[in-house]
Amino acid sequence: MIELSKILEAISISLHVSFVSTLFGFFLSIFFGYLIGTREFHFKKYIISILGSLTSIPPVCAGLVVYLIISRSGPLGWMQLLYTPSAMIIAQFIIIFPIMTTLIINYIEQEYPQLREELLSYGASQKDILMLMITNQKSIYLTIALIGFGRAISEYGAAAIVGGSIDHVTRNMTAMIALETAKGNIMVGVSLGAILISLSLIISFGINYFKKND
Amino acid sequence: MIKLKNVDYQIDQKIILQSINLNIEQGRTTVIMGKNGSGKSTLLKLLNHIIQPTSGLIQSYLKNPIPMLFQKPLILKNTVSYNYQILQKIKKFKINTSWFDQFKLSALEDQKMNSLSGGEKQKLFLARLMSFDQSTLFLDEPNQSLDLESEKLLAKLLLLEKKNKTIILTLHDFEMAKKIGDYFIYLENGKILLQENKQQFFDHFSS
Repeated sequence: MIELSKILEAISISLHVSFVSTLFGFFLSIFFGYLIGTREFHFKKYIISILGSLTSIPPVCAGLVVYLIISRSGPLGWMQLLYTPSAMIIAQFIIIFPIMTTLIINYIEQEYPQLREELLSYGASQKDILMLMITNQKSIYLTIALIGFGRAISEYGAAAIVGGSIDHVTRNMTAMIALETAKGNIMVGVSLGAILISLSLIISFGINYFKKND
Repeated sequence: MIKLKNVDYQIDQKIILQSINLNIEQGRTTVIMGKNGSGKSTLLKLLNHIIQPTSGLIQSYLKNPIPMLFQKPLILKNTVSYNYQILQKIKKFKINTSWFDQFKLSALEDQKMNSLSGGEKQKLFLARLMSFDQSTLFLDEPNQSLDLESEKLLAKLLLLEKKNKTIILTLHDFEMAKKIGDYFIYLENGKILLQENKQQFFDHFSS
């Protein structure tokens, strides 16, 4: 029977990797979301539609792309990232970044033009406008962060390809569920599955809570 | 004076305003009327430099945009007093609380914005704008969502303001327009159909 410490370790790896990838995804998607959403430039429509298409990128494909880049013969092979938590973070980031950025752009394109017109009439600077947009709708950002985290923690394919499911290092919850189920340890798989579902439910409740209380 | 010469405005090939020639004199109340989608709000924004014309010339005694009442004003998720004061922090103007007091908004100060009715919100937006002592007022449908009593109060306050201010506003309500307006512009499909003083303007609609 599998030890409890191994299960806790898988949970900890999952939480750590997903938290870091969400953190990077969150700040970079806010930066690029605002950059794209508040400006008019050539190819803007194309960039938005490419990001939109990438929201549904199959995790396995994202993992494959990262694998090709960081594998020993790839352009970043010298960094020796393959089969490390960092590789899993990069793969998860590639999956969640387009989702979070698209959501932020949608929000900005809805709110910004009107807000900008009125605030400019009051002599507000671009910085004032952006600060008001961020502080006025905190729940939107928390919701976007939770959506990103939920997607990151529940994906399997990408992290498995670039993480390699190495015991104590890169074996996260989803990898352990797949492995233990394949080995016939159905109960461990079911228990970990229940924990994962619980985390998803907590995230979903969190999203609803922020929406209601903002 | 604000002068518009052959002003056109379009968004993504859609013509919103076309061949607008207009003189708006200081010190009088100009009412812009017309059906929904006729271009009233766009004209008001052009007059206040919020947007720039696609073609044509605007000459104005105002060099920059000034705070105005928008049709869908800014609502921040917080209390009434926060929404009242936040723009004053940006503009850093001397605050005039007379409209805030007249509309009895102090009773609502601590309430959240989402608990207010449309009329209460509109009173707050009006009070917020009027907290800035400006000699020119741009008001986009100032009486929207107001009940009869509040509308009467608004007309009374505007009649007081018009004594020493230039007021440019859009309205649908002919009664109110007649009460406070000096000069009238009627827009249809982005073009000026009429621009006349009160007597001539209302003669058109009574005949």
